[in-house]
Parts: sequence; structure tokens; C-alpha cells
Amino acid sequence: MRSRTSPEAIVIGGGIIGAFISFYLAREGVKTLLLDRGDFAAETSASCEGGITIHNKTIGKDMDLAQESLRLYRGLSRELGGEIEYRRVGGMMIAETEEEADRLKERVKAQAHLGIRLKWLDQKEALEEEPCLAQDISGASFCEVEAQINPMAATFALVRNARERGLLTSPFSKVTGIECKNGKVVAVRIGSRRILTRLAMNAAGVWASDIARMVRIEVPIIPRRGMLVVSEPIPPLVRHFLTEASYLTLKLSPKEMERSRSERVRKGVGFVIEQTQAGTLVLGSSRQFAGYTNSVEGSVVRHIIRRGVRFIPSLRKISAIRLYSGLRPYTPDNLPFIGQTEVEGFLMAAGQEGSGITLAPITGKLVSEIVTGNNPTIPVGRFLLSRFTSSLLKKSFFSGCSKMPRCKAPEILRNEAYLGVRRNDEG
Amino acid sequence: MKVSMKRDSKKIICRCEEVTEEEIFEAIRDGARTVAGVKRRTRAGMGLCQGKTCGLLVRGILARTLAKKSSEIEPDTPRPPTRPLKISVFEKKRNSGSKLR
Repeated sequence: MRSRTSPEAIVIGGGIIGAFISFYLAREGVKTLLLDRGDFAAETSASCEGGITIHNKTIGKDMDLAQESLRLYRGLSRELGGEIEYRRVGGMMIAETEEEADRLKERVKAQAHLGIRLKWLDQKEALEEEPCLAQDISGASFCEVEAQINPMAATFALVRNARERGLLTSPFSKVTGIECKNGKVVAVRIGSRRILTRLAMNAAGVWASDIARMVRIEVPIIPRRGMLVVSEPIPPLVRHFLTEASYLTLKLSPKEMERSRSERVRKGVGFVIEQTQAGTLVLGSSRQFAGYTNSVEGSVVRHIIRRGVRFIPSLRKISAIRLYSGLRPYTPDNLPFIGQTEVEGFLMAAGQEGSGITLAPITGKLVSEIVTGNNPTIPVGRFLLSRFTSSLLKKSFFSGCSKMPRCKAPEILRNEAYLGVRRNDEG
Repeated sequence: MKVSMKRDSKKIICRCEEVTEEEIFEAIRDGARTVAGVKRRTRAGMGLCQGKTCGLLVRGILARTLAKKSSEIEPDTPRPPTRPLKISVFEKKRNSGSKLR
């Protein structure tokens, strides 16, 4: 680092969250240093779908967060839209059964006042809107305002833009300690290097609890692994960002999920698909508590693919070119931790789990508002770490969920077709 | 294979995604230090062949630009499948040892 004066703020974590925080801070003229233990956009932000989804959120919980975030994306898209590959593709939640259709119809009604251009499509209308879908679906909710970006490209574009406004960056710089004095942050350590600062933002996502422990704070974030299948580039097939209705149950109720008789549900598999600007299809999804390993599990991939062809039969003839998985930061109440903690100067900005892309802009904005003392776009009281009292934290966080097992060698790698592939199980 | 170090080189390194050598230099200037870092910034290695053609070339460009040995440059993580496979192939459960056509 060539700068002689200390940064006013240090952002720990160079994924899309850290990138947005840095972007907004740089715009406010706050001298910021962005750190990551590795390269930027190397972990969660490089192994996820790019959907910005609103109508799968919960009113009173994260709906306002998501709506504000989408507004910020729209504003940004004028300046950076091309670089982040922002496309307003619209999002659909697909009902497989009449029961799911009823629940989605209720959701459409309940969200009618939000102004998010949400409507219910019956079977015929849904198939007209998305012709690649299987003929026997029950219908779908369609939210026209939902959009898609390229998370990796967005992270790099935001960092580049912020650099032009003075952001300092240091990838491949692992934070090894955070020094406090009288309950306030005074410095961040990278090995033997000591960087003085009074503000440290924890945007370390899946590893946020490790960073928080450096200031003796317990943060209940654990990794949740999701697998993805990428296809060869193909001509336009999937018009919108698609998810199946039961995806919501899987995301919000891991205990219910784990007790299901269906193996697919137990592995947390729910259909999600997008077609990227490059023409590839990114098919998901799965949710498993499997520790910090990001290996690929054959049976999970099988369920993802079976679910995929169930909803889009023509997928069968398309080739898969890559299977991989990503870790997402899960919190016990499906809400991120944004804002102050009991250590002055140590701010949280992590735990968005599967909504990281959607909630990245608002997270960055809120953090920059806290730093500059501007009125927050949304009061952060609901998202503070302090909502988890120490008694709640002491209660076994993992009760009901399976313990995190050591990953067995993925069966898929034993197949002859995969001979010659170097095993890289150790996340 | 020798790769020219000219800064304005329009030579295509990744044929699948049509990424030029200049774009790879740009990625290195942007902070890429590994093959995956170049990949994430340029798409080199994300195409149909998943870096089989360009992987070593990118590694070499990184090595020469960063004044390191190729062996010191971290290669990308190979992931299954080793070649494009029709999605229908993944639908059925297969026992280990069985051949996939």
C-alpha cells in the first residue's frame, strides 16, 4: 500500500457485498481499503445464480430491503448496467400442484399493493410467457420488475469504479487480527502488518464468524452449500429467472426439509434456472449443511438435474459443461446482520444466504449511511446482531439440523467419464 | 508455444470465448494473479472446453507477466464433467465402474 495516511474504513471481504460497500463509501469520499484473503469475487459471489428476486421475500421481514435494493440496482444500471450485465428479465415462481398454485395466488394477492408488477398466470398464460416449460405445470406467479446480473462481473466492475474514486484494494491479504482498545476498533492486522483504522466492516460472508471472533463477538453464520450445473452456451431458451414454488420452503425451513421422506427435499433441491448473457444456462439449486467443503455430490446433482428436466424437458438434449458448488452464509432467522455491534467501529454486513445478490446494494448503502451519519434508507434495528441475545446464542444453534459432516468422496468422481479429473475435495 | 508480450496483442488465447491476450493483460492489471482470477475477469476458460486449450497458455502469460515460474501460478480447479455431457446422462443413478456412453 502506497498511501501514507490510514484508511478511514476497512472492508473485510471482497465479494459482491464488500464491493457494494466500497462502491458507496468511495462515492461518499470515505477513504476505504478493501481486503480479501484471496482474490476478489473468488468465493460465494463466483458460485451463485444472478437473480434479483423480490416476490419470494416476506413482507415485514426482508421485503422492504429487497425492494430498496432493486431500486438501487435500477439507478446503477444507467451507469454500470452493461458492465454488471443487468437485464430486467422478470421472475417466475412455478407451481407444480394445485396446492402450490393456491399458495402462490395468495402471495400475489397479499403483495398486490407493493407495486412490483406481480401477477398470477394460469397454465396457458405461463406457457405463453415461458414456452420452454413443461406442459403440465399448474401456473406461475410472474414479477416483471425482477432482474438478473452477472455477480462476478458486477463485483469487479464495482471495485474498478470505486478505485477510480480512491478506493484502495489489497487482495490476497488475510486479516489475522483486529485490535480494539476500550471497546473500539483501532487497527486491523494482516500478518505482521498493522493498519490503523477506526472502522472495520465484516463482509466476510461464510467466514464472517471467524472475523467477528477477532473482536470476541459470536456471530451465528454457518455455511450452506448449494450446487450448480452450467450448460454449454445455447440460443435463447429461458426468458425469465425461474424458480419452483417449493424453493421457498427449502430456503426458509431447514428442519422441515431434513425430516422429509423425499430424498430430493432432504438434500434441499429446488429448481432454479437462469440463462446468462453468455448464453449458458445456470441450473440449481440445493441446500445442505456440509461444513466448509465445496465439493460436488453426485446424488445432489442427479436431483437437481431431474428437477430441471421435470420443468424444462428440452434440457435433456443440452450438454452440461461444469458442475460446482458454492457456500452461502446462513443465519438462524434468514435475515442478514447489518449494522453496529457492541464493539464500536465494528460493523456487520453478512448473512444474506441465498439473497446475497438481491440484497447487496442495500447492504452497501446502509453501511455507508451508518458511516457517514446520513439517514438510513431503512432503519437497521431489525438487522442488528443484537437481535440475538446471548441466551439465544447459547441455545444450540444446530438443534434440528444435522451436524456438519466431513464430506465423503463425491461418488460422481468415481465414474469412468471423470477419470483424469484431479480431485479437489478440500474446499 | 511462444506468446508475444506486445501490449496491444489481439491474439486470441481462449478460442471458445474469444479472449485476446490484451484482455488477459488487462485482467492481470486489474488484479488477477491466478488462472481462475483471469477466468473470472475475462471468461477465458469458461467456454465449452473449460480451459483445456487456453489453461496452460494463460498460466504462461501470468508467469511471464508476474516474473514467476509457471509452476508457481495456481491453475484453475478442474470440475466434472471432463467433457460436455448431455444432461440426460445425469438423470440415472450409475454404479461406480459402469461406463458412460
